[in-house]
Amino acid sequence: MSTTAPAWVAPTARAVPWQPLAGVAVCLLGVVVLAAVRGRWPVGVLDVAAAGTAAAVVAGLRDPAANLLSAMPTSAARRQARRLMLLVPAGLGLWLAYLAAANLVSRGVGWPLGPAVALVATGCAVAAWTPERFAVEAGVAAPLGWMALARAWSGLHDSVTPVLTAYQSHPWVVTAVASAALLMGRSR
Amino acid sequence: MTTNTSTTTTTATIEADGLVKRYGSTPAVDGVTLSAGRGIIGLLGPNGAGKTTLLRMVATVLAPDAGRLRMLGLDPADPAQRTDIRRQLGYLPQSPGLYPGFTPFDLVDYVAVLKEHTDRDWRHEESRRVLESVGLADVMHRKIRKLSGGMKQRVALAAAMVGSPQLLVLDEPANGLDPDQRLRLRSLKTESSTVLMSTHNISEVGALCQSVYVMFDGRIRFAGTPAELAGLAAGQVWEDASQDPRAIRSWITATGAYRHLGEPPSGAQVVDPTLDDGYLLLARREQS
Ligand SMILES: Nc1ncnc2c1ncn2[C@@H]1O[C@H](COP(=O)(O)OP(=O)(O)OP(=O)(O)O)[C@@H](O)[C@H]1O
Ligand SMILES: [Mg+2]
Repeated sequence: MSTTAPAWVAPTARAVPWQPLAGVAVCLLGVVVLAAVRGRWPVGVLDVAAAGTAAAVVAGLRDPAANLLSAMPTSAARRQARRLMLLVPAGLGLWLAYLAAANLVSRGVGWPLGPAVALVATGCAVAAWTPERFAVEAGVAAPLGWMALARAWSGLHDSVTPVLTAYQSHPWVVTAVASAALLMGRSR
Repeated sequence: MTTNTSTTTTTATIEADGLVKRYGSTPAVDGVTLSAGRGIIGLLGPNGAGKTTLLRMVATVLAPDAGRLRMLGLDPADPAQRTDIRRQLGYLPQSPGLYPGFTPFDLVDYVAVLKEHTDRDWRHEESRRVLESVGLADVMHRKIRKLSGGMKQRVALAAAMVGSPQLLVLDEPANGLDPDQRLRLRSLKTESSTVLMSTHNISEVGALCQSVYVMFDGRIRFAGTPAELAGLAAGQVWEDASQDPRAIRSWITATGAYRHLGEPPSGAQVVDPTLDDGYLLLARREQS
């Protein structure tokens, strides 16, 4: 055991449900393998993958022992922040590994980091502003829903397209706004 | 549970004045005033009376809609004071929820981490101590998912007791415990000076508590000692071989005799009231 890691790291890592992220990792691996076999990168799959990864990161906030720990001096907000300190690097690592594999199959994929980060931040912000009993569900739904709306309706109406595609066109602005909302939501 | 009486406090540990908590427009707790000092305090009441809602407010988990609440002389509405209360508080919720992949030892140690205990050796010793005190020494390194329901309940109870908090708030601690474990609960040593516990087991109140509150429809309808609660039914309990339509409540006892509550008819064999009699009489009055 490391003598430098704070005492919360190991138990928090064990308390986090990693299954959603593992499930998404398997799906992404499947996409890469399929693309490699067919020799070309499928159109539009990056967007779905980014939303899926973001949703899996947010799903890691689910805490079955929330009731038991509800009256701890270490607040629920701080415990969630600690979870994010583990989940975000893991999600980011998965996303970078996916992009690296995708670039091996097709040079054109590039390194679109922003949209995935923006969707994670959005999911966390939504979770922070939603009543506790369905906060994680709402947070998981947010990146998936936004991606689905963007795919379904962007281009149909010029007036809403900039909003629907904001996480793609201005990911770092979205990240900044969502992060601010997350901080405000948690300190409510 | 036996409490440590080596220290004295002058102020009440829990002071509630006109507490109200509503869900929508329905009040779950409707103007509760209570003052609890040292000792074990029992909270009785039927399903939906508002016990859990009241305990969640005392445990700083739920903010009251109206009224004044102070624990250990501190105000839970103030974030810094709330954290201070939580440092001296142990809370067992009605449905605790645990991490199935943890062992009881891991979980209790994690709770100690969250209670800001930084010394690893102290935490491990303390985790062992509380788990032994709830009779889980043998299974403390087994995965929680492999434990029985009553064992899980005791893991949560142990977690609440970590660090011997000044104030222990227990929501139905005997839930799912076998008779042997219930008995064990009664002799559980806690250093906490104040224990507030809800229960449906009236005999537990008689065996454990120095004082008792009874709630109906969000309000406290009785406050006193267990003996005083039993005393409510003094002269209003009689036994008979057959049913008696004059009784407001009758039930058959283990001996086969009928026990009746109400105004006894002349010549009836009046018996000493128990806590159950006092509670049932109170409940009957509330219903009518
Ligand atoms: N989260 C909630 N949302 C809406 N109503 C609630 C909620 N929690 C409790 N209530 C209502 O508040 C009232 C008091 O509930 P509470 O859980 O405090 O009762 P209780 O005395 O603990 O009951 P029990 O003995 O069954 O545990 C009930 O009418 C219940 O339906
Ligand atoms: Mg309850």
